[in-house]
Amino acid sequence: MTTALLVIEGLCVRHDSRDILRSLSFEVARGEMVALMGPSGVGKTTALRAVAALQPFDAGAIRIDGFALAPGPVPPETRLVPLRRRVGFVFQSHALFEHLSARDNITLALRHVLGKTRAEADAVAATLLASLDVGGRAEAKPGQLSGGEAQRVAIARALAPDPALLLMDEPTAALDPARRTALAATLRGLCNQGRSLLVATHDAEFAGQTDRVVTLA
Amino acid sequence: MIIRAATSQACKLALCLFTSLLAQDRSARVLVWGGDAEGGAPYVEADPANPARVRGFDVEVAERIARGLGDRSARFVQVQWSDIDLSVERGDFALGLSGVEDTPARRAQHAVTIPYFEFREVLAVRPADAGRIHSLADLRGRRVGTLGSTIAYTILLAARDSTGLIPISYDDDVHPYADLVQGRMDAVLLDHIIAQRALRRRGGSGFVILPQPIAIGHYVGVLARADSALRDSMDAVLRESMRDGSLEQIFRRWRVWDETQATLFDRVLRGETVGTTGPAGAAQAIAYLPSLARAAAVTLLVSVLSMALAVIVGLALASGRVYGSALLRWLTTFYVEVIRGTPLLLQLFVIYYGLAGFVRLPALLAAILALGLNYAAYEAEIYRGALEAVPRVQLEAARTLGFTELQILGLIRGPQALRYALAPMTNDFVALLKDSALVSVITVVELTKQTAIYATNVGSWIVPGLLCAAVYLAMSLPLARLARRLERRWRVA
Repeated sequence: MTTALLVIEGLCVRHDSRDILRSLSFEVARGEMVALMGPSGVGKTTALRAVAALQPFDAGAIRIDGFALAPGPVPPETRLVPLRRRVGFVFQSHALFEHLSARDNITLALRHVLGKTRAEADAVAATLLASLDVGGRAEAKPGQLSGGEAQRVAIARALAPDPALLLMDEPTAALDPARRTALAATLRGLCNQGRSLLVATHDAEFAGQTDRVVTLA
Repeated sequence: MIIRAATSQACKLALCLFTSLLAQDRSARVLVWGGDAEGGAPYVEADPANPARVRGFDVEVAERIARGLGDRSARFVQVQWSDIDLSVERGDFALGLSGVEDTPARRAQHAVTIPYFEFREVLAVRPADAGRIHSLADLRGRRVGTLGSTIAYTILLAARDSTGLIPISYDDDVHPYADLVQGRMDAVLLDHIIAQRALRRRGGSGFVILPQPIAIGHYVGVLARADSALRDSMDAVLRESMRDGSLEQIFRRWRVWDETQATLFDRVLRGETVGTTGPAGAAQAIAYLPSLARAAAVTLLVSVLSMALAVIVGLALASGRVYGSALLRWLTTFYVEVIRGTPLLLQLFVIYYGLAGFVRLPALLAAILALGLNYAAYEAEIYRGALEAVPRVQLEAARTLGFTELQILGLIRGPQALRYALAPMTNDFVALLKDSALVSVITVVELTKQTAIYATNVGSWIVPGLLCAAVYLAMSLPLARLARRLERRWRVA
């Protein structure tokens, strides 16, 4: 194992004087796929959200590729730019922008955040959609996509800015067994490109296909 | 049982009382007459000594007619001045009287008495303009105010086409002079009695009345078309009161007597036909169609610009409520609640007349401001609801992609909220289209006002009403259609 990309030390999250996460510590190395396991309500999603700075934490430290998050309120977005460049997030509900086509869901950030031209952004989107086997659905609106298609578009959207770490929340929840196996293969491919993955799941079979399992209890 | 018996007795008693009152109206022969006492001196006004009673020269004329018809007393019924004809035809009262003008249209539609008073349509201008303005021809491009539904207004409409002045119609005869003094009007054309009264109220300053009358008209009593026999009896009483000097005494008491009245009495008693003289005759129904089209354009203009303002201010307010600090949220909520909780009519008056001391807004601008700022409160609530309806997880997804809050609003939240807001916004625009009729109270002649003027002049609401409804529908239906099409297009999947 080389240097860790993500380091979590003693992470504590309290809500209404209830401990949601108590002193969680683990690391994710570059190119490693880690499953975050545990029953529902144990704080898997909370941990991912804390790493993505969508949620404050009360104690501990999070470091992503040299960028540190400290306990306390979530910093303003202007200070989170380095984090946003390093971390992608695939939500359980996919959270696609309902008014945009699959392609525009992917190109929006490329054009408006990273400043790429429409042609450059379209090329990236076409490559990503094709590699995830949804190349033919570029024009479809989210409402017209199946659950599996929407998930792959969401993965493509998160990958488009080329983040070093991809966070995924329950990616197999809406997939049949065949799709689960295909997804594991897809994610493995991403790791082989040097990307790190942290996947929250309660699917033991899927977790078995990752490099390492961190269990929350 | 006792209670029921008592109740039934009370009911019988009340019924007896009611029928006897009705009978009393007939047996004691009360002449029920209608007029407008709102700002109606010296015609009809509430008696300062006893506000339950009315006084004025028309009150005394009505009493004189009642006496002349037998042992009658006169009972007054309040009615909006412009509705006197319609009310008398409905049977609300037998005689309409309070500066009711003798016009060919009125003669054609109703039974009308002989003229009992001659008035002059006079121009009032600011003292500085007295040397420059001598007639309507000198008022090209200038704003001239008057009371709607009057001969004066018909004269101004005709003069608009011939001399290019801008007629402004008011619902009352006080505000035209106030606006003249403040510079919102360049002249006011009204009956000399009204002009003189306005000048007295201002202590004789602020404006001057030009000596040369623009037209001559007469006041008459108006009765239902079917009441021509009663009208003939009233004519006889009026002639008698001209002969015996009682009418002259009434006019002298109210300081409206002058030599022209003596001449009028002579001509009436000699049996001469006395008509209105002046630059304009009665307007034909067809003559109102261009005005109606112009009024429809005003309605559309006011509605579109107000809605644009409402959308912009509404978006700002909604953003304040969704994104703002606690103070900003409190301020925007306060604005929304105050505006939604008070009548639009009041807001119109405050912006047009209330602010006149600080800023003298043109009527059209005041109308657009008042409507726009009022509807902004409703739009703000729609947008707030629509913004909050966009799933929060999409906003979080946008944050993880590195968008700024402003970008999220402009690229993701706003466009989706617009879809949610479209249907209620269309609804509001159609409501605004109709609410724009209220701006007539601050002299903007829009579709409903113009229709009312038209209806009053032709003496019927049927054709003008249908025409007006058709124009409103022609404006609102395509809008609803467009909104439905947009909704369908955006609803994808």
